Amino acid sequence: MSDRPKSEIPLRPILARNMTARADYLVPGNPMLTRPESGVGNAHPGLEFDVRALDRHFLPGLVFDFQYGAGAKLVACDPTPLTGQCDLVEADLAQGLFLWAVRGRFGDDPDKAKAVRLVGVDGYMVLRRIMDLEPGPLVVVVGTLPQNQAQSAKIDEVVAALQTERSIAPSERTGSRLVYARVEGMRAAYLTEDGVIDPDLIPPGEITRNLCSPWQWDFADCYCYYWASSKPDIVIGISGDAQVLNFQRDRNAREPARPAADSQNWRASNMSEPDIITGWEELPIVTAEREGAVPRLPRWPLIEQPMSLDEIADQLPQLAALEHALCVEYLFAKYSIRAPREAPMSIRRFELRRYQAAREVFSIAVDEMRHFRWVNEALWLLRRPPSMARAQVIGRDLRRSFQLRPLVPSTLEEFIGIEAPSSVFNDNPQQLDGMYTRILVSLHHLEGQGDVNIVRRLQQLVKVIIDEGENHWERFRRVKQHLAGNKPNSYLRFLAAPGKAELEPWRTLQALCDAYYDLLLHALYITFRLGRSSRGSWLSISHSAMFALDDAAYHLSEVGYGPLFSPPQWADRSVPHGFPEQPATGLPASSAVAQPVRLKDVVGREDAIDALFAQVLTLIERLAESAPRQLRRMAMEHGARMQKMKALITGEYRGDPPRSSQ
Amino acid sequence: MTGTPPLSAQLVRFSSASGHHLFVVAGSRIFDVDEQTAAGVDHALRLDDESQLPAAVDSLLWRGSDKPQQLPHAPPITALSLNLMQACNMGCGYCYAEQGSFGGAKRAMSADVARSSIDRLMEWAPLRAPVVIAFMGGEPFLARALLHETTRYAWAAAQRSGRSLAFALTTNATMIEDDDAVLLAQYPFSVTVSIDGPPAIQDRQRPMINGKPSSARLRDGLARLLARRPRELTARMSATAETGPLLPILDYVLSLGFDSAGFAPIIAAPHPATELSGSALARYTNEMIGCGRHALSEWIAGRSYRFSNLEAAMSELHRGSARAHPCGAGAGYLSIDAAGEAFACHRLVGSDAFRYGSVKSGIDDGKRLAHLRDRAVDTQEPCRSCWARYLCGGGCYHEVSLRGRTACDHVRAWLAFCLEAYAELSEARPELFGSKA
Repeated sequence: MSDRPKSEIPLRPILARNMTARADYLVPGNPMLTRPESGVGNAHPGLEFDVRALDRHFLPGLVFDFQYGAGAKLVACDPTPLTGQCDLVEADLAQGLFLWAVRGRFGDDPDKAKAVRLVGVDGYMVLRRIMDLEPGPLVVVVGTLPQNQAQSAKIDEVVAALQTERSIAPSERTGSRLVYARVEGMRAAYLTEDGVIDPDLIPPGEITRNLCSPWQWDFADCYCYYWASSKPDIVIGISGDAQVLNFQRDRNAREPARPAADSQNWRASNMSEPDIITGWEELPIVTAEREGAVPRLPRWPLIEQPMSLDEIADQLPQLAALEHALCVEYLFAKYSIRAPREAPMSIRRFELRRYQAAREVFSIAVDEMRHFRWVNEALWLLRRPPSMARAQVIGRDLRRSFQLRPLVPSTLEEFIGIEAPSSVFNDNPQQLDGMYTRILVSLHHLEGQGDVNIVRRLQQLVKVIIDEGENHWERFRRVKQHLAGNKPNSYLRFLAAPGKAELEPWRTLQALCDAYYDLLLHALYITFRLGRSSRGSWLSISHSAMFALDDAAYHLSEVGYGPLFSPPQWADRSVPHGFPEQPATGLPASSAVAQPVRLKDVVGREDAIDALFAQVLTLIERLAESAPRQLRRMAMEHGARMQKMKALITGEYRGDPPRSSQ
Repeated sequence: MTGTPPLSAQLVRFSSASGHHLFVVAGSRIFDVDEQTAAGVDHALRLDDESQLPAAVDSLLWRGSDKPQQLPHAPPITALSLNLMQACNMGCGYCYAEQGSFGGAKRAMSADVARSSIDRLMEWAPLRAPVVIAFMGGEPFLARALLHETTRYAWAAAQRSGRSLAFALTTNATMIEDDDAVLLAQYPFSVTVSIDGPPAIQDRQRPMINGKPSSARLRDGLARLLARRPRELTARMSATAETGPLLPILDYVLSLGFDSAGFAPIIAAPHPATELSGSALARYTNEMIGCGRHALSEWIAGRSYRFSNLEAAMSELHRGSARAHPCGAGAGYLSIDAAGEAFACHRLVGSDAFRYGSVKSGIDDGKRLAHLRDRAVDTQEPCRSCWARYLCGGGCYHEVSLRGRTACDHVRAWLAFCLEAYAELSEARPELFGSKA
C-alpha cells in the first residue's frame, strides 16, 4: 500500500465511497438542485429564484431596483462596506437617486477598466451591463435624473472624467440637495466560500420574492405552456352558459358578450400584473371550465340501483354489438368520400379537406373497432364468452336500423348525435346518460366488493371508452367543418349505397372484402378467447385483415361501388363454424394462477386454420389471374401477406410448447 | 431462520493506506470513517453490541433493504453453454470434467441437439434480451465442424429474432487452426484459454492425453489466436496443491499477449491430491494477495496490469454488488450436455440434482426456482452469519456439493484484501471508477 499521509483522511465522520453507499447516503443540507449554478437558467424571473435579485446588490453597501423605462434606482444605502470617502446618506434616497455610471471591468473587454454611462437607459439594459461586470474594484456614481440640458451636461462631464480616470469630487450638492455622489467598493461575489448565496449581502426571502410561478409573473405574462401553472383563457361565467369570458378580465368592467377578437382588446380588458399578484385571492376558482367562488369537486351521480357485475356482464354483449355496427357504418361512410389515398398538396384545398374528412372518419372507425375489443375484454374479465354479433338497431333515442350509407349531411348529423358526450362529470351531477356512464357509476359503487382487480380493470376500460366517445363527437364535428359549404355530390362518390356489383372484377373484389371482414372477425374472436395468452400475432392479423379490407374497399369505391360488409352467419352465435363450442376460458378461479389458453383450445383442429384463409386466398388468386393490372398488383401483395400470416399462425399452432420458460 | 445476524456479520471495519473504512454488508456499501468513528465501531464490534455503535453508523446499518429479495419466479434463461464434445485431447489430473466425459462415456453433441438448443434459447430469452452462447467441453475444437456450423446457425437465429448475441468459448488452444482463429475473430467471441504457466508447469499439470507435453502445441494455437485476435482473449490458470508461486506465472502468462489473466483454484477434483485445502489453500491465499498487491501498485503507478481476479473484485465492490447466489447457474444460465439434457452449469453436467429438463422436453421452471430459493445465501449455514455472504453468494455449487464449504477462510481473506485495495485504489485513481481525479 502507498505511504499516503494520514492527514489526507477525510475530515467528515462518514463519507460514502462506493456506488451503493453513495446512493444510500443522505447528504446533510439542501440538495444540489438548490445551488445557484444548478438552477434552471431562466432569469425573467427564474423557477427556483430570481437571479436578478442578486444584481440588486452588485456593490455591497448599495441596493438598486432595475425599473422598466426608468433605470436603476437606488433604494438602500449602508456606507459600511464601501471603500473610500462616501458623502451619501440615507436621507438622500428620498429625492430619487439613479445609477449614473459605473467604472469597472466588463466581460466584453475584461482586461481593461472602463466607465459606462447608465443613466437614461432602461432598467433591463442596466441590469444586463451590471450582470456583465467582472470581479474587482468599482467606482459608481449615483445622482438625480436630469431635468434639463445643464443637468445632462453635468452627467456627461462626470462620465467623461470617470472614463479618463480624472478625479471628480466625492459629491456635489445644490444646497442640501444631492446632485451626485461617487462611491467606491468591490464588486460583490454573491456566494460565500462554501458556495452559498451570501446571507449577509442578500437577506433571506429576497431572491424568491419574484418567481416564475402561479399567481406571479408567469401567470399573467408567460406564453410558455410547459409550466406547471397554467390558467384557463376562456371560461364560463358563474351565471352564464357559454364559454366566452376572458378569465383574466378586469372584474370591475362589464362582462363582454363575446371574447375579444383581437389581442389589443384582449389585453385592454385584462387585470394588470400587480393587480393579479396582490389580488390573486379574489380570482375565481375554475373547475370544468366554469368559474365559481368555491372549488366544486366532481361528484359521482346518484344512482338508485347500481348494477351488479352480473347485470353489467348482461349489458356488455349489446354494447359490443353496437360498437361493431358503428365501426362498419363509419367505414362504409368513409369509402363514400371522394378523397385521395395520400394527402394532397395544401394548395389543393378542397381535395385536402376531403382527405382530412375521410381520414378523420376512418380513425373513428378504428377507434370503434378498439372499443369493440375492449368491451370483449370486459366480457373476458367477467368470464363471459366473446360477443361477435352486429347490432341491427342503433342509438339511444333514435333507435334506427343499422344501414350502410354514404356520408350525406343527414348521416353525418346522426353520427354526431350518436357520439354526443356521455360524460360523468357533466354540469348536472344528477344526470345520467349512456349505458357506459351507468356502468362506470355502478362500478364505483362496487368498489370494495368482489375482486378489486377486476373492478379496477373494468373501470379503466369503461372510462377510456367514454373519453374516446367525447373525442369522437368533436372529430365528427370537425368532419362537418371540413365538408361545410360544399354540395354532397361534390365530395361524395355516391349518394346512395351502391349495392352488389354485377361485373367482374368488382364482384370478386366485393366478395374479397366480405372474406376479409370474415377473417377479421375470426381473428378478433381468437384474440378475445386467448385473452392474456394472446401473443399479439392475432391482433396483427386483424390489423392486416382490416388494412387489406380498406385497400380493396378503396378500389371498389373509386369505381362507384362499396364493400358489402355481409355479416358472417356465425357472428350471431359468436362461435365460428368448426371451432370448439366451449373452449377453456383461461380465467383464474379467484385466487388460482391462470392456465394459459392455447390456440388449439380455441380453434380445435389445425385444418380450421386452412379454412380460415381459404376463401381469402381463393379470391386473391382469382383477381391475380384475371383482374386489371393495378388490382393484380394489389392481389399479389395481399396474397404474399396472407400467406405469411397463415404460416405464422400455423407455426404458432404447431409450436405451442407444452411447458417451458416463457 | 430467525434472528438478526451478529454485528460482525452486518458490518466490517477495515483500514487501508487511505484511512479507516466501513463495509456495511446490507447493500455492500463502503464508507470512509474518521478515526473516532472507527474506534467507536471497533468497540461495538468487540462487544458484539449494536447499541454501542456511533449513531451515524447505526443509521447506516438499518437503512435500505437488509437482504436481497427472494425470487418470485425463475428468471428467464438468456445464456446457454453447449458441451459440443464430452471428450478431451488432454489429460489434466485435476479436471472436473474428467477429460470432458464428466465421469461417463465420451460423447459428441449432434447437430440437431445444438440447433434445437439455440432455437430454444431464442424462445426462452425475453424479446430484445442480449443472449450468450458458450462452447464448452471437453475440448470444443474436437467437434470443429459442429462448432463452426453452430456458430453460424446461432448468429442467423439471433439476427432473425433481433437479439444481440455474444459467444464465449473455453479451449486448451492445442487444436486451433487458422480457420478456427478466423471464426473466433469474425464473430463476437470471448475466448478463454486454459493455460497453467510456463512450459515446465504447463507440461506437468496439463499433459496431452497420451502423456506428452502440451506447451508447444499451446504455443502454436495461441500464435494463431494472437494473429487474429478475438474480441476478448483471456487466460485462466488453474492452481492446484502442487502449483508454486503465482506471481511469476501471472507475469509469464500476461507477457504472452492475453487481454487479461486470472487464477482458478482447484477446490474439488476427481483426484483429491491436486485439490487445494488446508495449508495449501492458505498458501494459495497469500500468493493471490501477493499478486493483488503487485497489480495494485502497478495501477496506482498508472500502468496497466490485467489481473482479472482483482479487476473483477474492484468492479463488483465499486458497484456494491450484493448477490443472493454465487453465479447465474440455473438462473439465467444453463448448460446443455451432448444428449441435450440441461444442467445448472457446465461443471454440473451429469449431476441429477442439477438437471432441469432438456431442450426436447422443455425446462422445469419450478425445479429451477426451488434450486434458487433453496440455495439463496440467506438460507444457508454458515453463510448467513458471514459478513462476506453477499459478495461471495455462498460458494460454487459444484465445489460445495462435492467438498462442502472448505474455502470460506480463503474467500474472506481475499475479499478483505480486495476491500482495502478498493479503498486505496478509488482514492488514488478515482478516474478508474468513472469519477474525476
